[in-house]
Amino acid sequence: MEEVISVDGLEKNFKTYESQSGKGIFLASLRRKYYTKKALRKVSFKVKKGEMVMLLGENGSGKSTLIKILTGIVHPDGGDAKVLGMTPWENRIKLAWNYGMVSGAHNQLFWNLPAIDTFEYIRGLYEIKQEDFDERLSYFINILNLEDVYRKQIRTLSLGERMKCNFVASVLHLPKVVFMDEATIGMDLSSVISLRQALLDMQKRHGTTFFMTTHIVDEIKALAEHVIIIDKGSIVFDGSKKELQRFFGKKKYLEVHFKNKIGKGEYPLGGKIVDQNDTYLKIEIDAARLKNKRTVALLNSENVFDYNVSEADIGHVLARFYGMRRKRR
Amino acid sequence: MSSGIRRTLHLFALTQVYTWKSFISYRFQSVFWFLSSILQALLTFVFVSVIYQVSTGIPGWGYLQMLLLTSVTIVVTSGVIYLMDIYNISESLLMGNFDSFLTKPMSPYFVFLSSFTGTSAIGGVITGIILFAYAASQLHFGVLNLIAAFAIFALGILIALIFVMVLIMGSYKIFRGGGWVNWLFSILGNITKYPLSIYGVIGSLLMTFIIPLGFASYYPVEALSGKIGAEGIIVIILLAIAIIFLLSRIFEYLFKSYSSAMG
Amino acid sequence: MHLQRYVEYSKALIKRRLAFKMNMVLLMSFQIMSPIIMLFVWTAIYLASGVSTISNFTLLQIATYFFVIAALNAMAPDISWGILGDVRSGNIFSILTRPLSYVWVIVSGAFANILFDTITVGIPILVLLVVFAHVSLTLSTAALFALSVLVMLCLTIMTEFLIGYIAFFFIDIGGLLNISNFVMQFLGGGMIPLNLLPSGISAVTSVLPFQFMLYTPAAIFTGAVSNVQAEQSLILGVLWLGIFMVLCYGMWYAAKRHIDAVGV
Repeated sequence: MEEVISVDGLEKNFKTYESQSGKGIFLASLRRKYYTKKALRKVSFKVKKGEMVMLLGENGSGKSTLIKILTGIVHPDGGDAKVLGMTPWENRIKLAWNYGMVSGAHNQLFWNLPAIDTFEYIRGLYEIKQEDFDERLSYFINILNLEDVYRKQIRTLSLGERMKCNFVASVLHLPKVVFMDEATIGMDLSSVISLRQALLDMQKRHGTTFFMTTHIVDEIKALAEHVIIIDKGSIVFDGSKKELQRFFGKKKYLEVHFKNKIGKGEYPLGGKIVDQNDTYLKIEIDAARLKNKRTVALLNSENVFDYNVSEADIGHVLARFYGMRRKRR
Repeated sequence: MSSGIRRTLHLFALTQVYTWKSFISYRFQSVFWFLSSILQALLTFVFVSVIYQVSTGIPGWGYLQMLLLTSVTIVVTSGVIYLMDIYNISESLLMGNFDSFLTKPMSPYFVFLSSFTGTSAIGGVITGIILFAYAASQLHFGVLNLIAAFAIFALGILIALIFVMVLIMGSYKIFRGGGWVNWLFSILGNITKYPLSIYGVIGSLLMTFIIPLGFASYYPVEALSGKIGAEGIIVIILLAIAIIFLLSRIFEYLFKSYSSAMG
Repeated sequence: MHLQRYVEYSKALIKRRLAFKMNMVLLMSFQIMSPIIMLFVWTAIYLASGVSTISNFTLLQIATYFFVIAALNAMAPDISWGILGDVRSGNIFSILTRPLSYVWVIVSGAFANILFDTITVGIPILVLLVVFAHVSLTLSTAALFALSVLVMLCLTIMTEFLIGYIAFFFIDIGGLLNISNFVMQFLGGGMIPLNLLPSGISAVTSVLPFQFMLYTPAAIFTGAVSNVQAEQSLILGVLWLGIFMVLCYGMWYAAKRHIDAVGV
C-alpha cells in the first residue's frame, strides 16, 4: 500500500521567552530571558493510505506542532516530511487542495450565518462541481444527523452541532488525508458517535486517511488502528492498538462487590490492588490466574455479592506508559 | 485548480458576499458601526471647514484642495481597514485562528486581504468619496494630472496595504501581539490628513520612506492639483514601485519567520 | 457594601495594568501623538495667517490646550467599553459568582483607573506643560482647574455609566459607543476649542454638559478664560452634575435590580 505520510527525523525548536514582569517598573520588563524548547526531537514514522492514525500525548508533548508541520503551516528545523509526496512547508497551497484540517479549538464557520453558507463558500473555494457538492452535502447531512441544523445560524447551535458542521466544512472537498486536532473536544456523546460513523464510512468508501490527536480514551478504543505516542517531543510508541495493549502483558481487571465489610487481606486474590473500600475490591491480575481454583473458590464464597472481569483499559495502559517514561528519566 | 487572477477575483467576490451577508444578519449593531464610520469622516470634514473659517488655513493649500486631501485620506484609511481589520487580524494571530486560514489553498496575501473584512469601514469610504466628489466638482484638473494622480493613488494603496501587513506580522514577531498596530494606524491616518509639508523636511521624509503612507493620499492630491511636475510624478511612481517591492520582500520574510516560530 | 473587597479589587486591577508595561508605554506614546499633530497643524496655520491670536488663543495656548485635552482624555475612565467587554466576554458572570456587586465593581474600577492614569499620564503632562509651555498658574486658577477636573471626572463617570448600561440590552453596541465617543469629543471641545466653532454651534455647546468634560478644564488651564468666566461656567457645570446624579440615581437602582438580582 502506498504511503500517505512519511516523516523522517523531524526536528523543531522554539525560542520562547519569559518577560521579567513584576520586576522593576519599565525597562526591566522589556528585557527577556530567552530559552530554547525542543518541541520535536528526530521524529520519524510512516502512515499508509486509508489508515486511521491516533497521535497521543499529553499537553505540550508536540502533537500540535507535528500537525502544523504536516499541514505546511510551520517550517521544521531539521529532518524531512512528505505528505502525499509533497514537502508540506514548500507546497502548502498545492497540498491544501488535498488535505482537510479539522480543529476542535478553531472553527471556520461564519458565526452569524447558517452552516449552509459556509458550505457554499467552501464549494467555491475548492471549486467543487455543483452535482458533487449536492451529493456530498446530502451524504454528510444524513450520516451526521444535520437535517434540522444546517440552515440555522451557527451561533444558535450547540457545541456538538457546531463541531459537526465544522467537520463537514473541512471535508467537503473529499481530501485524501484529514488531520484532526482534538476535533471532538467538548462534544456530546450522540454527536461523537455519529462523527465516528462518518469517519469509518469515509475510510471505507473513499480510502480516506485520518491522522488525529485526542485525549479521549473512548475515541482511541473505538477508532484507532495505528497508534503513535509522543512524549516530550520524542516518539515513544509506534504500532497497532493491539501491540500497545500487548506491550504490558495480558492483564485483566477483576472487580468484586461484597455483602459485608471485609478486612485487609481477607481475600488473597493475588495481583495488584487498584481500588478498594469496605465492600469493594478492584485488582489488576494476570489473565491466567483468574482460572486458578483458589480464585474461583474465593469468588464463589458466601460474602461475594457480585464480580466483574474486564480487559485492561487503554486509558490505564496510557497512564502507565506516561508514568513509566517519567520514572525512567 | 483554475489559475491565477481569475480564481483570486472570484474567491474575493465570494468572500465579500458572505462577509456582507454576515454583516447584514447583524442588522441593529451593524447600523451603528456603519454610522460611526460615517460620523468619524464627517467630523474630519467639520474640523477642516472650521479651520478655514477662522484662519487662512494651511499655507499653499486652499480650502477645496485641503478637502481633497482629507477626503482621499479618509478613503485610504477606511479602505485599508475595510480590507484588513487590523484588530481582528491581530486577535486571530494571537488566538491561533489565523492558522486555520493557512490550511486552505490561499496565499498569505489573499488570507490577509479577504478574511478579515472590516465591513463597517465602508461608511468611511463612501463618505470620503462623496466629499472628494464635492471638492473635485468645484475644481478643474487636467486629464494628465488625473491619470497621474490615479496611478500614484493605486500604488499608494498597495503600499499602505503591504505596510500594514508588515506592521502586523512584525509586531507579532516582536511582541506576540498587535492590538497597538490598530492605534498606530489611526495615528498615522491622522498625520496623513494634513499636507506632509507642515511636518518639515524630516517629517516629510519619514512619512515618505519609513512610513510610506503619504503615497496613497498626499502625493496623489499634489499630482492632481498640479503641485508637482512630470519629472516629479515619474520619480514618485518609480519610488512607489521600489517601496512595494521592498515591503513585499519584508512581508514574505516575516511570514516565513512566523511559520517557523509558531507552535 | 463591604469597602475592603472593592479596595482589593481595585488593587488587583492596578497590578494587572502594571503587568502590561509595554502596552502602557505604547499607549502613552500614542496618546501624546494627537496633540503633537495638532501642534504641527496649528503652527502652520498661525504662520500662514500672520496673526498672534485666533479667538483668544495664542499659538502656545492652543498647543497647550491640546496637550491638556490629551491628559484629560487619558484620565477619563472608559466605563462603557469595560461593561461592553464584560458582557461580551462573559466576565460579568465570573464577577457575579463572587460576593461582589457589579455596580460597585464598576465604580471602584473607575476610581482605580482614574488614580492610575492621573499619576502616570495626567500629572506628568500637566507638570511638563507648566515647565515648558510657560503656563503661569495662579493659586486661584489652579484651584478652579482642580475643581473643574473633579466636575469633569464625575460627569464622565456618570455619562459613561449611563451609556454603558445600554450594553446590557444588546449583544454588541460597540458602534453606538463609538458614535457617543465621537459626539462627546466634538461637543466637548476635544477636536476644536469650542469658542472657535461657528457662533450658532458655539451657543449650543455652551449650555450642554459636554463642555465640562474637556473644554472647560483645558481652557482654564491654558488661561483662555478669565477666572470670573470660569466660575460662572462651573456653576452651570455643578448644575449639570446635579441633573446627572438624579438620572444616575434612577438608573443605578434599575441597574442594580437588573444586574445583581436577575444576573443579567
